[in-house]
Amino acid sequence: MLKRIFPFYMLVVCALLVGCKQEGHSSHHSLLKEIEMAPRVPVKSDAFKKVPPLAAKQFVLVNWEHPKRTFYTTKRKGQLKRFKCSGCHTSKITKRNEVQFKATHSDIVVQHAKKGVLQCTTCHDSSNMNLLRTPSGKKVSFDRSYELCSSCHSKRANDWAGGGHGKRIKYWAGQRAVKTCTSCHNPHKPLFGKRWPKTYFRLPTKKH
Amino acid sequence: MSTETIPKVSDSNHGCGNNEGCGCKSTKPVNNEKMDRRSALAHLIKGAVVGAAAMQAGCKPGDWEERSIKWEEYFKKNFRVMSNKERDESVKRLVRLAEMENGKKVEISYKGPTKGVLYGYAFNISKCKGYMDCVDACVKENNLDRDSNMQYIRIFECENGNMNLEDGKGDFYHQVPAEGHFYMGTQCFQCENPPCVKACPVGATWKEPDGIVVIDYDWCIGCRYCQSACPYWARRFNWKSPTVPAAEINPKQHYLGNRSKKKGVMEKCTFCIQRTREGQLPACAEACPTGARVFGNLLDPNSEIRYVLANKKVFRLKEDLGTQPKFWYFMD
Repeated sequence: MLKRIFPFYMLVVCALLVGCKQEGHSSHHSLLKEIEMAPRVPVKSDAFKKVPPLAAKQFVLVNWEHPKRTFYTTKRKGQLKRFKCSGCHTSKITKRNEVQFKATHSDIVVQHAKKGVLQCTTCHDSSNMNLLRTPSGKKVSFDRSYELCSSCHSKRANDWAGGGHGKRIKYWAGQRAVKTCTSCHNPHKPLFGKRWPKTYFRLPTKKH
Repeated sequence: MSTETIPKVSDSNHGCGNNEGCGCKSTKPVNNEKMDRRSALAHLIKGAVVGAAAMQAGCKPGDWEERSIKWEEYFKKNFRVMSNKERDESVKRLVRLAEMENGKKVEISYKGPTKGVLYGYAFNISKCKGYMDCVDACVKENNLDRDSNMQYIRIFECENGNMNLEDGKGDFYHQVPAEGHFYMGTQCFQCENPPCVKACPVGATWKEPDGIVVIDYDWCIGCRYCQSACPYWARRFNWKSPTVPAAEINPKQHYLGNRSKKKGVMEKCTFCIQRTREGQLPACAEACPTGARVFGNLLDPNSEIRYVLANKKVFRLKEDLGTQPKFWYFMD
């Protein structure tokens, strides 16, 4: 009896051994695991010739600790209409004076944190209006305003350095250049507002 | 034509040889005599000359060039088996056809994948506000048909608390973001295990080594098996000949990407192959004003996409199907 069934039995065993492998894909590892385990094939430096070398004058180099990243971010001083602040601000300001505030910079609306948390001198260095200052008193250039933002928004800033927050400029290849915080966020009113969508979806009418 | 009665053999000079009513419905008497060879030939030649003259008179010079180019294009091979010389010749023909149709000079590249590159994409649900800048940029970049409102990207407005995209609204048009809603976008996810590739009966779609699933538009027969195989509804069919106003045509094209297609073929998002193979971000990622879209090389451990995959809680759609899409979702 066993003699007769033996070839059939072997056929079934062989089919099970051979047939269960998925095409070109190891069934035991997730795609992420496979990517992590893949041998590192360096991308040739001339692979993306159409990516121009970075115009370093418009960027500052950032060396970040957590995560360890080196990248470029946009300068801001050239984009600020009223820079240098010392053009008007020659004397020290101590506290926001409602009357004086309304007369100049009247277009600035502060909607950043709850009322009473921030005021001008929280971020602006009153002894040198061309600089910002962190809560610990460290002076920060307008081109490196991310150092100020990250002193409160540390997790967000780490994401920005790693790539989970913010915006890369134009190219995914080549030297990494990202927008700085204030390229997207108005520091006085950082949240994005409501607006109409750029386009919409509609099913085509039956004309064609 | 008046209604005809079936002529009986007896009351016509039909020489059909049928004994019952022949049923030809022709009332024109057919000559029963045999024609001699000489006069038959004379008749045929006269007819051929008249026909050829009519054709020449009816054809404009441009028509002939267009027709001969299309004839040669019809017989070309699948992109994968063409030699570079054949590809160059095809590109030349396609560029000429585009010029004749729109008066616009386009450039069609067929640049291949780069070793060490595998494209990946991440979408931040917390950041998407439904602005639709990505959709608009995609339509313009990829020369999508304007009449039928062809869009590769779909943005869904979902109610808070319900992650099921089947309940999301894709056709919203009001100020965004709407209160109590969030937004999620889909497009072709460039699966590592693509069901569409398996479904294609002619081999017109395949996965490239850099991970992009591409279509050879001239090999596609338009059966739409791939469209039914795709679980994410990523593939689009050209029900009509796609048209783009000449001024809006993007002239930087790729053979497997945004070149002009014809009626009856499939197309889909290619992660902007014409841009990404030159190191540029896809149009959607570049256009997004909130930074919700992250794109990069999965094989580069320092890339932004790898940071997201390592540090954020990411998920993919329809994970249980085993398609292994290279498009992840995450939240802040």
